[in-house]
Amino acid sequence: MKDRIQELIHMYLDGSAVRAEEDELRLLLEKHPEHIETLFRTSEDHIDLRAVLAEESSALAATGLVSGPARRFRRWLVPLAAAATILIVAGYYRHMQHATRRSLMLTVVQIAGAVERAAGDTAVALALDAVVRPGDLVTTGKDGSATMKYPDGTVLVVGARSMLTLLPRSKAKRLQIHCGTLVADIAPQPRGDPLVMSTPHWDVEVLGTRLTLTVRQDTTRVELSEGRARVTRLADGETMDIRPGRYVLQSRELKVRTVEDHEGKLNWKQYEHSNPIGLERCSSNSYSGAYSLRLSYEQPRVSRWTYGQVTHPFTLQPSDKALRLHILLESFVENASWNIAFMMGDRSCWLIDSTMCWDLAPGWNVIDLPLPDNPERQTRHGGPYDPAKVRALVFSMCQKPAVVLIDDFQLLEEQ
Amino acid sequence: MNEPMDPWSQAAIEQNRRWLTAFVLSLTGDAAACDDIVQEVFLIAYRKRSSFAPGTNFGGWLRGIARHVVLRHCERRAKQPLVNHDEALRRLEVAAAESEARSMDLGYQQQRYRFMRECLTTLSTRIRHVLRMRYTVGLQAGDIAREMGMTVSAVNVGVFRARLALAACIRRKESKAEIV
Repeated sequence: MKDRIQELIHMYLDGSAVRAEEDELRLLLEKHPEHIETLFRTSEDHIDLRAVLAEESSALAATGLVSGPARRFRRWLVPLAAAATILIVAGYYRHMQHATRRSLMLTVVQIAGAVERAAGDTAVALALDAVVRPGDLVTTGKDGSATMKYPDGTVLVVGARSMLTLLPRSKAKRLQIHCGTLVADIAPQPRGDPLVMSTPHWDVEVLGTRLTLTVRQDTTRVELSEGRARVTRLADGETMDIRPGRYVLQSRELKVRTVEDHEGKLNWKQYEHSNPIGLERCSSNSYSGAYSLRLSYEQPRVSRWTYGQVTHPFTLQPSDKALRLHILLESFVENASWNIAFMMGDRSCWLIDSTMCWDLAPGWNVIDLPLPDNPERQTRHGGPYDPAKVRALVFSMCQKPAVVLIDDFQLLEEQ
Repeated sequence: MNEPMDPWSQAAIEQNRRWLTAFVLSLTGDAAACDDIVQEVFLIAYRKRSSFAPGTNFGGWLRGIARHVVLRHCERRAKQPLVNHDEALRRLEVAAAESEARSMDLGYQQQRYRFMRECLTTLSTRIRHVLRMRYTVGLQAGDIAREMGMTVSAVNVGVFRARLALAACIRRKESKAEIV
């Protein structure tokens, strides 16, 4: 048991433990908390080892550059020194080229289902620890996924039915996502050399963040968890900087129609078959304009419902493509969540999106919700879904207390 | 009598950095993010310095902030901290507090580095090279295996054994130093 805990601790601190091994270690430490001290001391060793190795490496590098002890001058030393300098410079140049090439290679650290790597005309099944080089194309099958890591710690997870190319002839990391999903946890990149992810419609540039890209026929969906990203539409060069949130980036420009900006009379109402939600206009923090709307939810101790709901009059046009919500999380208790549903004329409700509060980044989040042709879940029973019969939007806060601000609630429509 | 050190001096921050980093690493297992998290903890602590009563437990206050920052980090990565059970968390706090107390000795960190350097010399040159590639260059086991003409499992086993040997060597040196 002790050996297994020790092995798992080393893997965990080394970053090589998979989720199941982490869960196993968590359980073992709960059962045998006396091993926590081993965990802490091993962490200390790990930190010291890194520090000492880094110190040694810089000392070695310095030794290579420092001149040796003074010797008696000899005439033949001059051409020899010149030749050596040329060799050192050439060697250093080759080393730097090699280091740059290596920094752009990905190593496969986890794999599931069918995943292929194609280089030129040859395609081979991708295996654990295989290296993916610039120019290679990675394709995943319907149940395939691959987790790959750059030497700087940047991790890419390619989802099912996806195609990704590492673009060659570039000094910085450049990827082309042809279709499917890519989750990227990006380590800080050198200033001026952002990681660029290109989709058929947009270029997404980041210096370090966590994001998910999903490429569909006409859209690129971006879920940005932290930091900032710059997106550029390929069709017209339109550029914008985006903050944490979820965006549906269309291949062409969409018109934005504001449904409610909270500047005039409020049209939100408490829905009677749910717990109360506190509603107040807030002037201290708004996305734009003077006001936003603060919604506070407390889950009563005894209640037949586990949610509170407010509704807003709402209709859809055939040209509407997505609903855009600006939301800021003020406070929440773990496991609090919120969702959005459309209410039809017969008061049946269809769920459009559901999100855990902890998925929101600090500050204002912009969330684009694509309008589905056929929502999958009906939350209040009634007739079939028909966008023409949508009469209200229902905002629900569920399970646990939370306070959120919402502002500039908009629809994106085709021009 | 020595004046208590200003907790916001650079020296005091450096003195607290090592045990705080170990505390964060134990909770997250994310060596790459550790430095940023610790930096954020110091920044938050500095911003909230008016809420800290001088003479009370500065380390405990830093650990409270660190737990909060780690929780947010884990939420963003949709994972749980490794230690979130009450008893386990209490023991981790105790281990960190003991390390904090040891760090108050100004020569402690230098002594730990010296021990680590000495223990590294007991390893073969080859395995030291592997460790350097793994922890300084940041190469994965597959890349190291190719560079060194080894199998991936030989690299993993080699690194694991080397780290066990280093830990045992450091404990020996520490206990010897305590006796002396």
